[in-house]
Amino acid sequence: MKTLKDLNADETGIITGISEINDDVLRLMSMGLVVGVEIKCEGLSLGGDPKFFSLYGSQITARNNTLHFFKVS
Amino acid sequence: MPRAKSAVVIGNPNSGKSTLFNHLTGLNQKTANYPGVTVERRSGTVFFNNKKMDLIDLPGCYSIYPFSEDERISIDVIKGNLASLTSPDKIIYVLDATQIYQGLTFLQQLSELNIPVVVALTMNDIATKKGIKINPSLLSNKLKLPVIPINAKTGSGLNHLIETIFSIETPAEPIFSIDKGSNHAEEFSQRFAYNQNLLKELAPFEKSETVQRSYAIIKRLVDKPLSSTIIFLSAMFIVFQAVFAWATPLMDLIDNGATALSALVSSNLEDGALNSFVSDGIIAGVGSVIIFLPQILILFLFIILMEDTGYLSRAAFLSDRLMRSLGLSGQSIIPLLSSFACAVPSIMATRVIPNNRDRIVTILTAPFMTCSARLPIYALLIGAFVPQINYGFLNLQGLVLFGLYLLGIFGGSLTAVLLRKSLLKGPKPNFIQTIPEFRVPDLTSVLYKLYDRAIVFLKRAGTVILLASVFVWFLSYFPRSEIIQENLDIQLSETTDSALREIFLNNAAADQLQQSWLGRTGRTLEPFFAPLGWDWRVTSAVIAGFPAREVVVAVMGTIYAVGEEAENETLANRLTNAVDQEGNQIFTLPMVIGMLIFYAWCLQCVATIAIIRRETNSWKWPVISWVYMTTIGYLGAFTAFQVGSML
Repeated sequence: MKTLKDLNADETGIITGISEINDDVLRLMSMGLVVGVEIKCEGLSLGGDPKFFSLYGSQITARNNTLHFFKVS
Repeated sequence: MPRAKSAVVIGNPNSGKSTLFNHLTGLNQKTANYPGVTVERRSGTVFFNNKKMDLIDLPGCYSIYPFSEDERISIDVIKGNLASLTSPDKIIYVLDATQIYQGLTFLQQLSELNIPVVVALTMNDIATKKGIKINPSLLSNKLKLPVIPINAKTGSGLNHLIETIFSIETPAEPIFSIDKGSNHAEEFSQRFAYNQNLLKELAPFEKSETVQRSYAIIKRLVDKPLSSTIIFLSAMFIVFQAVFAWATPLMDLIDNGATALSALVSSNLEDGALNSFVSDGIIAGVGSVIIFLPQILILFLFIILMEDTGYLSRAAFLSDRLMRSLGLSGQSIIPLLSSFACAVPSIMATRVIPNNRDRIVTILTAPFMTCSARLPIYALLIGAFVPQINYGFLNLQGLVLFGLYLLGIFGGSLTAVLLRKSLLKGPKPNFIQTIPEFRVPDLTSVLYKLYDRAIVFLKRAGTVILLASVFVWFLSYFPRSEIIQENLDIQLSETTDSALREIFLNNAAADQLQQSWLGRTGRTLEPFFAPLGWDWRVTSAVIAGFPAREVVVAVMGTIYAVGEEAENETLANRLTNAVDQEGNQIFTLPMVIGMLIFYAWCLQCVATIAIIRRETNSWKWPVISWVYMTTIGYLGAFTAFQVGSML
C-alpha cells in the first residue's frame, strides 16, 4: 500500500486512509490532509526527507516518519 | 468609564496578520510577554471616529485545538481563559487567499464561539499570480460573514475593515455543524469535506487565468533541491557577511562616538570618581549596549525579509536533515549561522522556532559559535604565541583560528545532542509547516518589526548589560590609593616629556587596578585559576571582560601598563615577557592554548546572558548555560595547560 512517504516529486495521489492518529497526524489533518483530498508532491529536501506537498493551493512540509501514516492511491 | 472594546487579529500562520496589525495600529503598539511564558504579546490601539479599540495580534493557529505553546495562548485569549485578560469582543480573522482551503476550518470554529467575526482577505495579488480568483461577495454570502479584501501595501480595504470592526455587534449564525460526539480527527474530516464542497461552489481555481510566467520561473528555481540549495547557501553567505562585515563600520562609529563623548566629558569634569563614573562607567556602559544594535538590525532585516517574502520556510525545509542530526529542526539553521557574528541577535531570532524545546536547545547552543567578540582576544594570543609557519598555502596561525571555529561548532553540536537526551528530553520535533507563497514584503511592516526588535533589546537586555558594566567599573576603580596618586603627581610635575608622562600614567593605572576591588578579586581567585596557568592579572582581566569579551584586551593593556589603546604588538611583547613572583613565564604556549579553549567554550558575555533571560523569561536557563559553559571552558583550559606543560 502506497503512502505519502512514497510519493516522488510531481506525483499526485488521493488520500484513502490514515493508519494511525497521533499528534503529528492530527496536526496535518488540521491543515487539510484528510481522506478524499487530492495531494501533489511538489519537492523533496536533500536526501528525500522532508517533502513538501500542495493541496488546493496550500503547500505543506512534513517528514517521512509522519507521512507514512497517510495511505494514498 | 466604560472599558474600551477589544479585538484580536488571528488566522493561520503566515497569513499576513502582523502586517495587517502594524498597519491598523501604527506606532500605537507595544510588546510584552504573557505571564509565565515566553510567548510575546503584541497589543495596540486602533481609532475610528473618536472611538478607540484595543487590538491584540495573536500567534497563528490552524484550529482551536492547540499544538504548541503559542497556539495555546491564542486559544486561551480568544476563549477568555487567561486570568489577566477578558475574552475579546470581536475577531478580525485574516484569511489568506492562497491558502483558503486551510483557512476556512479555523474560521468556521471561531465563528461558532458567539463572537462577532470580520474576515480580512489577504494575499489577493499573490493568489491572482497563482491563478486563483476569489469573489469576496460570494464568499461573504456563503460564510454569512463580512469579507473585506485587503491590500496592506496600498492600504486598500483598511478603512472599510476598521469601519466594519467598529460597527459589527452581532455574531453570525454558524454555517456548519459537526456530528455530535465526533473526535478531533472526525471533526477535521467533516469540516474539510465541507470546505471542498464550498470551494467547488466558489470555484476559485476554475476561474484561473494563466499563472504569471516570471512567478512560475522563480518557483521552479526555488522548489527544486539543487537550485534551491545553491540559492540557500548564497543567501546564508550574504547574511553572514552582512552581519559580520557590514555592521563593522557602524559599530566602529558607535565605538568612536562613545570614546569621543567619554573624552569630552572627562576633559570637562574634575578628575575623580564622578569623572570616571560618567566617562568609564555610564558612557562606556551605554556604548556597550548600543554597539549591538547594528548587528541586531542587520540580522533582523534579513530574517524579516526572508520571512515576509516566504523564503524562510524554504530555507528551514532545506536544512532540516542536517539539523535533525543534532536533534533540532530546520528552523534552527538561521539563528545558529548568525551566531558566528553575534549570539545576541541570533538568540532573539530563535523566536521563528515554533517548538519550545527546540528553541531552548538552539538558544543554549548558539553561544558556542565563535562570535566576532572573541576575535580580538584570539588575534592577540594567536599573533603573539603561535608561530608564523606556512604549510604550502596554509598558515599555522590561520589553521589555529579555524580550529577554534571548529571547536565552537563541536562544543555546540555536542551540547545540542546532550540536551536533547537529558534536560530537554522529549518527543522528536516534527517538521510540519506550511510554505507560504512568494510575495514582495511590505516595507512599512518591515520597518515596524525592526523598530520593535530594537526597542525590545534596548529595554530588556540593555538594562542588564549597563548594570553589569557599571558594576565592573566600580570594582576596577575603587578603592583608590592616594599614595599612588601622590607619587604620580610628583612624577608628572618633574617632566614634560610626553612619552615619559604616558609611561608614568600607565604605570599608575596598573598600580591602581592592582589594589582595586577587581585586582584584589583577581588575587583572591588566583589559586582557583592557577591550575590553568593564570596569575591574578589574567584572572582580573577575564573578570573585567564579563560585560563584553572585547574588553579583556583593553583591561590587559591597563594591567600590563601599556594603556587601554595600545597596539596589539606592544601588548603582545609585554605578555611574552610577563613573569610571576618566582620569575616564571606566565604566557607559555600551553597556557595560551588553554586560554583560547576557555574563550572558545565559556560564556563570557553578560549581553548573551541577558538575552537568554529575556527570551526564556526565566533565570534558570542563563544560569545553567553560564555554569555549564564556564565549567567546560575551565576543564578544557585545565587539560590543555596540564597536558601541554608535561610534554
